[in-house]
Amino acid sequence: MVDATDKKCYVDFGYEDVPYDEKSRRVKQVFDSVADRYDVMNDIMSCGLHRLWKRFTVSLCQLKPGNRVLDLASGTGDLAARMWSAIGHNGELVVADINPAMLSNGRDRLIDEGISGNVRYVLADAESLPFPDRFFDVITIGFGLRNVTAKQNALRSMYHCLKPGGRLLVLEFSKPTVPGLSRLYDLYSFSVLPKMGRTIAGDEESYRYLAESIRRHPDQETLKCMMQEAGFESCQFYNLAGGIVAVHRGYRF
Amino acid sequence: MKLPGVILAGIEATFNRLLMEQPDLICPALDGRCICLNLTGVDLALFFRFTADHVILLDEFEQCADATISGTPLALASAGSGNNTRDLRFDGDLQAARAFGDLLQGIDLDWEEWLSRYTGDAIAFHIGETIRYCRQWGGQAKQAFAEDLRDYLQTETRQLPVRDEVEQFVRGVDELRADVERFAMRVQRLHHRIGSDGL
Repeated sequence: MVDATDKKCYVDFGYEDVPYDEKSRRVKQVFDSVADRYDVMNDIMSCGLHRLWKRFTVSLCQLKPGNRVLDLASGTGDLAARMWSAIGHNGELVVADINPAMLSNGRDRLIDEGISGNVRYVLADAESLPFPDRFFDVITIGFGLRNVTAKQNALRSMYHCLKPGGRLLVLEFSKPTVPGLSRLYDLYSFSVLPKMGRTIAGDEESYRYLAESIRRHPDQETLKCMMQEAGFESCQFYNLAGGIVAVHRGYRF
Repeated sequence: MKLPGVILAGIEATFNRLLMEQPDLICPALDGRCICLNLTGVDLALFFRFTADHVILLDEFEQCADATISGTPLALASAGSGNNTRDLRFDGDLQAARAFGDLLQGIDLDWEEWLSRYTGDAIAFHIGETIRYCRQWGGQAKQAFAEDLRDYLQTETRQLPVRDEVEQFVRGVDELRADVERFAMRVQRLHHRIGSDGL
């Protein structure tokens, strides 16, 4: 497992192994490239299911009015928008992303939807969050953890920023659990998805990376163990779409 | 057995919605505690971990639960509806287990109010009225069917005895059993006397 001390080691970038420092640069290139068509592609790739997955994730947050929440790797702000309505005007929403293009798109979209006032935008790396300890009630990261170079460091960083009783929700692609689904899913990911990326977003390589990075991402049980190792308790995962996507939840007590 | 995550999350969400409407149901005895509900027969364990304002539902718990309530689904349902708890087994912190039982019994699901948020008051009221009518009709039909069946079996076909006959028979059996026991004791006493007198 990659640790903060191993900065000379190689890490995965899809099926490639790249130097530690290069991964974040290449992930940035991917998201710079897809930022403008990100929402459209999400809708097409998942047949709109990503909206249900995000709704389900927010329902697991147990949000209350007045909560302070952090949406990491916020992208175009889908999760953030849903959480904002639950925390009310007394709450505080922090929207963070490591990629300026995605953060800018997300900010524009949230402002267009009238979501403002108690919202802050932060360009931040999930591995070293610039927030005090015990600061947030809820942290979410939707389809972002697999792009983080040192996932364990990021989980530890999130753990420290949570208040006691706070929870982390990780929405991420995972490993299909329904028999026979894996073959179909592979066919879709490696044959259909890159072609869709080329046609709609004009970028085949980024969507090939998407498929590869999903395969390299830890499966449900491994991610749960990583969360427990970072200090989270009462960890539980919820498979969606036959395990193609899973929501992991862990608490800091 | 494990419940699918979506169902688990649904139960948890329903529970928390009810607790949000009745926040005083979570008493201090439950704060920070974990109660295991062990459904024997279906081999299903659910862990309810309580925080100050909500409950977390888990299918695995890394530590030992503070209290465990074990029983068949029927026994749990019977206890949940306020009937006997004889068929349930309690382990661990009994105060926490009792607080959990009180919480389950204290939950008052005002489903008509919940439905009205989605359908409006008028439609929710009509649905409620229909369901109440169906429930009342179902209760009456069940009672009428039971009475008709009893009359048919007891009076017309005479396959079953009437209650008085059964009670008389049971009383007779009890008296006979008592007589036999008394007689056995008397015979035993006579045996002892014969043995001690050397006759």
